[in-house]
Amino acid sequence: MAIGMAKGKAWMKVPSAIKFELTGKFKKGVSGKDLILYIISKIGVDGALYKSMEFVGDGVGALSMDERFTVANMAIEAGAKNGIFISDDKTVEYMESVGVQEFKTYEPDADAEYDSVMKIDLADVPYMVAFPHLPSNGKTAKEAEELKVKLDQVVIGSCTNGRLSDLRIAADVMRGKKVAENLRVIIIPATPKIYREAMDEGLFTVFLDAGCIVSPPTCGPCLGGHMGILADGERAIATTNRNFVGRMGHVDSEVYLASPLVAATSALTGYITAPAE
Amino acid sequence: MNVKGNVFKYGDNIDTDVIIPARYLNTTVEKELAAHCMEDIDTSFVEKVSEGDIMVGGFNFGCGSSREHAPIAIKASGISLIIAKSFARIFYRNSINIGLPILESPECVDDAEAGDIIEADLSAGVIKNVTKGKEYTTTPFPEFIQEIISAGGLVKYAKEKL
Repeated sequence: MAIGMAKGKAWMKVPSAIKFELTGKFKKGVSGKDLILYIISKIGVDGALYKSMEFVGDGVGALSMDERFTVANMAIEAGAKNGIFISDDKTVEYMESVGVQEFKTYEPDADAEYDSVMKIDLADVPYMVAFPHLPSNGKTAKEAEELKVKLDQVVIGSCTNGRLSDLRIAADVMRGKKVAENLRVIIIPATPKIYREAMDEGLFTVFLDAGCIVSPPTCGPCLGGHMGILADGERAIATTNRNFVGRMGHVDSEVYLASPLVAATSALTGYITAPAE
Repeated sequence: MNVKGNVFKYGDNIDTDVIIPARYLNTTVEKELAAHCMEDIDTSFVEKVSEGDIMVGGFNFGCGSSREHAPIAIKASGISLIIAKSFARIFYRNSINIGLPILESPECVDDAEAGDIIEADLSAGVIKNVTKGKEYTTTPFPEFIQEIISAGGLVKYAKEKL
C-alpha cells in the first residue's frame, strides 16, 4: 500500500471471470452461506483460481446485503480474486445507510466474455455443511446428520457470519432452549457495533440463558488464535470460512463449516443437525 | 537467476495453515517462522531442508489465509524455488512481493519425486530435472516481476527505484 502511494503504481494480474446466474429464491431458512458452500462443493477450492466470480441475475435481489457479504467473503475459498455482485436497490440503500453519499454503480458489459457460466436456481440450494479439511468437502446437512457427527464446540460469528442478521437467526433457534451438555457454544459478533446492537436488542440474554458464551469481536478460534482452541480429536461446527488441517487448534481436530441456522440447530442437539425444512 | 537443489514434494491444495500454523504467528522473526514450516503435514521438513532446495506442489498451492508469513517461512527455511501446478492467488502475490521465486509447470510436478535434483533458470523459465534427465519450459514472469523477485521483494525493489 505504502509503495502504491509512494510510486503511484501497483502490479496486478488481471483476472478473467466466471458468471454465476442466480434465479428464484431460497427455500425458507437457506442462506448465502449455504449458497457459497454449495458453489465451492461444485467447483472446488481452485474452481475459480485467480478469477473473478461475478454474481448476476434476478436471484441476486433475493439475497440480503449480509448474505452477499458472506458469499463474497468466501469467494477466495474457491480460489477467486474477488466475488462481486451486480448492484440493485438493496446496494444503494446499504451505501446510504452507512453514510456513503457519492458512489458509482457498474454493470457487466453486454458483450462481456466469461470463462464459464453457472446457472443456479436458489430453490435448489440445500442446507450445506463443509466437512474437514477443505471448504469444498460439502455435503447436505441431511447427509451430515445421518453420519451422527458428535460436536465438542459450536462457533457462531466471525467475519463470515457475525452480522446482526446472523446473530438474530441463531438467537431465534435458541430462545427459551438450552444448548447440549458438554458443548462449548461461542458467539462472536463481527464488530463492536454489531456487538452493541446485539446486546441492546437482548440477544446476549437469549444466548446466555441457553448456555452460550459471548465473546468480544475477534478472529479468535477461527484460525486457532484463542477462545475455543480445539484439543486432540475434538470437533467443531463453525460459521467461519476455513476448515484446513489444524485450523482451529490441534492438528487432529476437525472443523465443519455451516450457516448460523445449521450451527445453532446443531448446538441444541450436540450433533450436526439439519434444520427442519 | 539460477537455482539448484533437492526436491521436497507435496500434494494439491497445500494451505497456508499447514505451511505456517497460526499458533506461530505471534512472531515476525523469519528464522523462528522457518523452524515450524510445514510441521503439521511433514515434521521432518525442517530437519531435512538445506539451503537452495526446491519445493514442489500440486494445484492451488498456498490456498487459505492471506498470511505473508507463509512464503516468508518457506523462503527462510532455505527453499530457493517453488514449482507447482498452480498457485492460489494471494500466495502468488505474496511470494513475488517478498522475493520468493515461484514457477508453474504441471508436467514437471507430475514427474518430480522427493529427493530429485532440480535446477532452474528463472529468467528463462527453464526447469531441468537432473535426476530424471528431463527439461521443462514455462512462461517466465514479465521483466518487472523478475526484478521484484531478484531484488528480494517489493519493498527492497521500491527502495532501489525511489
